[in-house]
Amino acid sequence: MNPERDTIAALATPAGQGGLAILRLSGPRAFPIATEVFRGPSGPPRTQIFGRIVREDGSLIDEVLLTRFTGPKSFTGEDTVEITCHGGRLVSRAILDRLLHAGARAAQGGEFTQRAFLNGKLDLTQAEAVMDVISAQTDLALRCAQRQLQGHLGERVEHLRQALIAVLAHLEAWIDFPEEDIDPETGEQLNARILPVLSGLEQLRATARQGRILREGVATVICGSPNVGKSSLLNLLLGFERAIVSEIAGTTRDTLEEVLDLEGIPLRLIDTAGLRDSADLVELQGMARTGKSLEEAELVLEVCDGHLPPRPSAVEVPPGALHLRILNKMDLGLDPGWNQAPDILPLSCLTGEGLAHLKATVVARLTSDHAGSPDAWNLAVNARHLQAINKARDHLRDALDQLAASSPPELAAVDLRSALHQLAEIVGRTDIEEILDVVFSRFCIGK
Amino acid sequence: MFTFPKPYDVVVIGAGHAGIEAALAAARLGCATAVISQNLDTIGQMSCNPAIGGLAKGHMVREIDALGGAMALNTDATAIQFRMLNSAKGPSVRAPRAQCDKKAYQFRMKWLLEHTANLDLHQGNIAGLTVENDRVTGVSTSLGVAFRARAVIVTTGTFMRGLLHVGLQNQRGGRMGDAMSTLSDGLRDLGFHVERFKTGTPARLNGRSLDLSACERQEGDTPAPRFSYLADTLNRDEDDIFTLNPWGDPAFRIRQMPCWITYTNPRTHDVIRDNLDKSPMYAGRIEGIGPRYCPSIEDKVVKFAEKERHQVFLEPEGRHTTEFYVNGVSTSLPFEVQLDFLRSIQGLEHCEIIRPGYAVEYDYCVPTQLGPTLETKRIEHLYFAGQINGTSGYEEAAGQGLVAGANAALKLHGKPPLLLHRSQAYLGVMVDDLVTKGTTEPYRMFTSRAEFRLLLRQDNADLRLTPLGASCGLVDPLRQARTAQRAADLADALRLAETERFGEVTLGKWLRRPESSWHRLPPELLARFPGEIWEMAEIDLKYEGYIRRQEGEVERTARLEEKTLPGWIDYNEISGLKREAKAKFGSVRPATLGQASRIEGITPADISILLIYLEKGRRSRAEPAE
Repeated sequence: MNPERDTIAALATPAGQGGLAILRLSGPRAFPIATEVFRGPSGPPRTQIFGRIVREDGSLIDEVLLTRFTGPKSFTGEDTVEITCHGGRLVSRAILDRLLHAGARAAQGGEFTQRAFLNGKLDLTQAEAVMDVISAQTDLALRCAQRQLQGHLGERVEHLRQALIAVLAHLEAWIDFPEEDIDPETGEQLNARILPVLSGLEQLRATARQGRILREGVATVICGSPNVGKSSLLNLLLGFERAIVSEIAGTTRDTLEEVLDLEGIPLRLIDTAGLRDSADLVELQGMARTGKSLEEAELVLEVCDGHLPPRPSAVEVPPGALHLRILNKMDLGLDPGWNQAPDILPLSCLTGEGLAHLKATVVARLTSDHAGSPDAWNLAVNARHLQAINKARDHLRDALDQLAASSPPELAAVDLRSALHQLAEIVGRTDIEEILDVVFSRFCIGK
Repeated sequence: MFTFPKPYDVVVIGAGHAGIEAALAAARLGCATAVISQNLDTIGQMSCNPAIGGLAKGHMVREIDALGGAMALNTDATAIQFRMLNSAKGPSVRAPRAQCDKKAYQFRMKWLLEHTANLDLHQGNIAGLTVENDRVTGVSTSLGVAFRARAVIVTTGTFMRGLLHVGLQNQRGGRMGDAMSTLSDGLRDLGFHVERFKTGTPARLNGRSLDLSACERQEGDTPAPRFSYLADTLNRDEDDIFTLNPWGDPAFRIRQMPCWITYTNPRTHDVIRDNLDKSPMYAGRIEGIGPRYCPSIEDKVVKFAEKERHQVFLEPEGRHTTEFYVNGVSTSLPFEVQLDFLRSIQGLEHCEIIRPGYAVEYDYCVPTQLGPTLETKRIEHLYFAGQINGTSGYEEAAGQGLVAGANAALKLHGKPPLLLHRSQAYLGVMVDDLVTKGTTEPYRMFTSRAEFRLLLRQDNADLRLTPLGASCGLVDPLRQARTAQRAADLADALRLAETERFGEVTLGKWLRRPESSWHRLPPELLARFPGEIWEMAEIDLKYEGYIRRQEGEVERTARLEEKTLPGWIDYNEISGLKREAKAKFGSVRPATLGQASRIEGITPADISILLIYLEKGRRSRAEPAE
């Protein structure tokens, strides 16, 4: 973190060819720098102004649209300038160089978001969501990230936090004002107030797996013996010819990776070299890579030749991974030996028959441990949230244990405070004054 | 202007609970000390209820005692009822509370001040401070007498610009019957930020007019729990008429008096509601902010309209008076309305008001203008303690008085300050809250304010604080020796618990069981240590897990507490900080990084920025790394 609040600049749109590109400039000198490099009429903030970006000698770099945002009413909370220029690596690079020359510093990754967080424009969950929005690979992932950016996760956590504050306030009032007629909550009443918070935490916990799936995708390995149609399956799933397919066994020598959007779930499809005895050095190396991919697989699509009788599988499926056997070449007829085999999915890569069933099965099996289909996914906690939620849950369970054992109330209070602290970590705050506010608004204190 | 011939090291303005402890601490540390009070007959007056102690407050009284203060022993000597509150809850939230004989308490305290070495009493109304080069040099009275002082401690309670309200009538005064002080005008001129708070007190009733048989009786505990670790030194010679409770084996020789409980009812509430237009609060006559934990009966009836009754405690004000304090019905309604609603209460049907209840508005100085020694940041050697800092309560005041008095003296002696951490004492929690966060209502201590509550128990206040008090000279040899003995006994008891067998298991394992209690140990074991030691050992063993957890948290935060923030920091210059953080750091000027992190609205990100800035600053100044 650089505490010097200098002015930073960066390209805000993806690098490369495109119709338009946007550069962003943020910091105390954003306006002076813009004035130095921009030739055009002046205008009020938050309106686009047409003009030219010029070099030091006044020569034209590009014609642009420039917008000023006066802090704190900007994304970062600082004075910010956005410059929309023509697309193309060279043009945007030249403008960025010009901004840097005029006194801006090249922004580091995430620095605009960091400033927005530091200036109180975003809570921590929202700041994290910005990264998720940018890197979302499917619509579903984007939707979850956007909901988090709008503060939905923060709201859910805040809701649970407020419920806990109410419980703690009652306990503290009962401790600190022994002569007021405050009824102690019985174990059952306290249970009844803490248990919903616990189940709320469980619901958030359950989104952790979908969160990881949405952020990182499902590592899906296509494997099997040579020449059973692994690359054909890859191409069929993707809908275009990604891999070279041939009649010759061992055509795929290396692993290939592509992302497939399967009803919003990003599958990282990894096509591998077929597993067989071979003396070919390149092919052996490819098979070694297959083994490595398999180790990290969460979904293993083992392709078999359904036309031939079943053979012992050479595929080593890692524990916990979902294993489906695809019986390709069903158009040639299935060997009766497969009749009793579990988890099989007949398919014809040639005709596409069985593809819809395969996709539906994959989605169903990947989401079987969640309530509802991916359509219902709208939140996804990340690893940092999960850690805090787990700790909060453990503290709440300790608190319940203490209450059940009729221990002194101040012990359960320690656990409840620790749980509150963990929830506050997710969004970033907590204070004793909040608890006292609840005490005095709910109980008539004052002997 | 006449200059009093004797120059003082420390002058204390005010002789309330804060002023007493401030003066005693400074005198104990060898400073020539003067207490100047408007009225020497009101030393240690309990302007409101006759009780000392209670939750968190009782803890603080024990802490004051552990540091050599007078409040605990004076309470033990003059109380007429003792109770241990929360005895059915856990060990860390138990606290002693006593009803005092108000006059005995006051006169015994006056006697104590008069007999303390290095301590003089003067009657006078302070008109102003003399300040040279941002350093206080003395005070002057309204009669034109100047007192020279190297340090001044202001403990003016509710007296600064005090305004008393009964109904829509109001009059100036620090307390009903006493004149107000204009000292806050001078403080404002010196640049202090002065604000207004409000508090209130209920009526006092003639005990002969009460039907106590219609009320619930509330007895004191037997044996009476005591406040002072030295309570057994209380004795009374023939001339001492103020010590009511001399020590006799094995406890006080004390005649306890009961308190009485009755309740308001819907008729009471109707009377109050019908007359709200005559309440200065509801008529908008009062601008000061009052405490939420001590609302007037008007507030209770309005804000908690669904409650059908509120408790009323009838507390005797002393053994030799018939005055009763009516706790729970603080009010500023007109006299006749007070009489009306009080007479609607069971047992009070024929009550006679001796003194009406009233509200008082007064000036206080925003406490974030102080450092952790309670010295003002603006004027060197000037200290504030008690209600002038926006607090409420005798115990809070006394605790601040002790901290201010000790630090004023230590600074004059060129010695390191007495700084109490939040993990060491409620007094530390209070001072840190005040100077770091300020307060938006009259500040009262609650146990919930202490994040290390399990460590700050009333039973171990001496073990926590007496060695610290001894190291700066506040504690006499007797107390030091007592505490050292108790610490050694506790260590022995804990050692014994791990080696001695008790039934099938070690004694320690047995004591850790929830259902076990040291009371049930066989006589030969019990005889090894006093009961108090066994009790502490049991607490230590039984709650070991939680206690260690809190100790771990103390250690984790210690690094931030030890990191001091140098005086050269210009917070405006730290360009990475958001504007709000700059303003807050600039006004509080935290002494340590730990204090900085507790300022309201300060985020971990702000602290990181501050850390990086400090590191850079140190390098550019080529100071050696810590």
